[in-house]
Amino acid sequence: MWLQRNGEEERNGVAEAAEEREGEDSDAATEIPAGVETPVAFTPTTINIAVPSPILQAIEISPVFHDAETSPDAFTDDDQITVASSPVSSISTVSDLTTTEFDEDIGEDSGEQIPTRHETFYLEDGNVEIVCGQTVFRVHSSIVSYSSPILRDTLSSSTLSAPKGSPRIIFKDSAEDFAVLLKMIYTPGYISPILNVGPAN
Amino acid sequence: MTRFPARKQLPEFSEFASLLRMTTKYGFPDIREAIAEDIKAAYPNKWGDFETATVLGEDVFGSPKPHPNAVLNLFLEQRMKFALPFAAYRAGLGGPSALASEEPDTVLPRLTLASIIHGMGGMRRAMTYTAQAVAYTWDMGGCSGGMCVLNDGLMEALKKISDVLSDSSEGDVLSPLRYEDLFCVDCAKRLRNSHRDCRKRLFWTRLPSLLGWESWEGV
Repeated sequence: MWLQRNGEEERNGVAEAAEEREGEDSDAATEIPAGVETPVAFTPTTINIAVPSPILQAIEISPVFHDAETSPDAFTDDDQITVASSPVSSISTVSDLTTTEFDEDIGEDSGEQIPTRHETFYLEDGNVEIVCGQTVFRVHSSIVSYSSPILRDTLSSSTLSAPKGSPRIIFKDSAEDFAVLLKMIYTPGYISPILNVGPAN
Repeated sequence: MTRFPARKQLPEFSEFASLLRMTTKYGFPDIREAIAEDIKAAYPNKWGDFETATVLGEDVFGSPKPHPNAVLNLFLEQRMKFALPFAAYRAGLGGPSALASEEPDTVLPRLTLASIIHGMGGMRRAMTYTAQAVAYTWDMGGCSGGMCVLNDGLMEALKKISDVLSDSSEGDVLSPLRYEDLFCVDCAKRLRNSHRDCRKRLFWTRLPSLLGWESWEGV
């Protein structure tokens, strides 16, 4: 998603190659005054953030649903966008952004990276996105919730808080750790072969 | 979408560590318990399990083998207390340079590092002392074997016995030795039994306290 001004996509030097969004939720557009200096306050559906100008020019800003613990006071670093309690860092809606193109477009110039889809666990028919570091997973909330009460509580609360679309949740776990968790959940018989490491072997 | 094939090999340490972290954090008690049992097989906390184990320490993990410090750090982080003494011992076998590694995930807490260095030094000194004690109290009589060091003369035999005991596996004071290289079958058996009691009583029982923990019961 790109910053929008008066309904038009804001394009700048590092974003010229980006594709137009598809299925953009017009309600989600956040108007950013030109030439604004940090910090910048967004209202009414977004959290307040403080983002340096180079990042403002390059990144998209999704409508972010409030985490109860998130407050503008929590942002102390210029590039810090979301802060929340464990295990969820923030929740937003899932957009149809083309992550590969974003990576190519802004990676070198801005120094910031947009999460890339996990090669295995970005499941197209999933209904919730989970972001760990620079990796985004797309999974089925029912399957993941069934395996763990903790995940069930986390996902159910975030799903309920999303006004429309699928929620995007930021977890504090590393992508490597979370991929193993999903591997365990989604792969039948994954556990028993790898845990038979006692004297019998 | 690719699927992960069924596994028939031991997991890599990184995957194992992720599994332990995630199952702990997100509430999979049964799987965590299974993981703990596998850890216990390779990092035993009982002498009987140690003696019968076929694979010990970081050798239980698939390639690439993890640094012993990384394993110890994981157990510290995940509070696998029962495995801490033996994991610390395995880390200590690498010597001071490996213990003080600054590679990612291998940096030990300072107090843990100091305890291990101090404990391993104490164990090596005790091993040297014990080797001399065993050698000089050895019953030299009655050997009829043709290829036994005990037929080499008293002083020569004492020196070889002391050497083979004190040079045990580069400081691995817990592991049995190759007595057959020096002794006939009968004498090797007698020495093995004597040495086994020594290893159990002097080193295994005291391992936790030597390395900074209270006792096996305490962990």
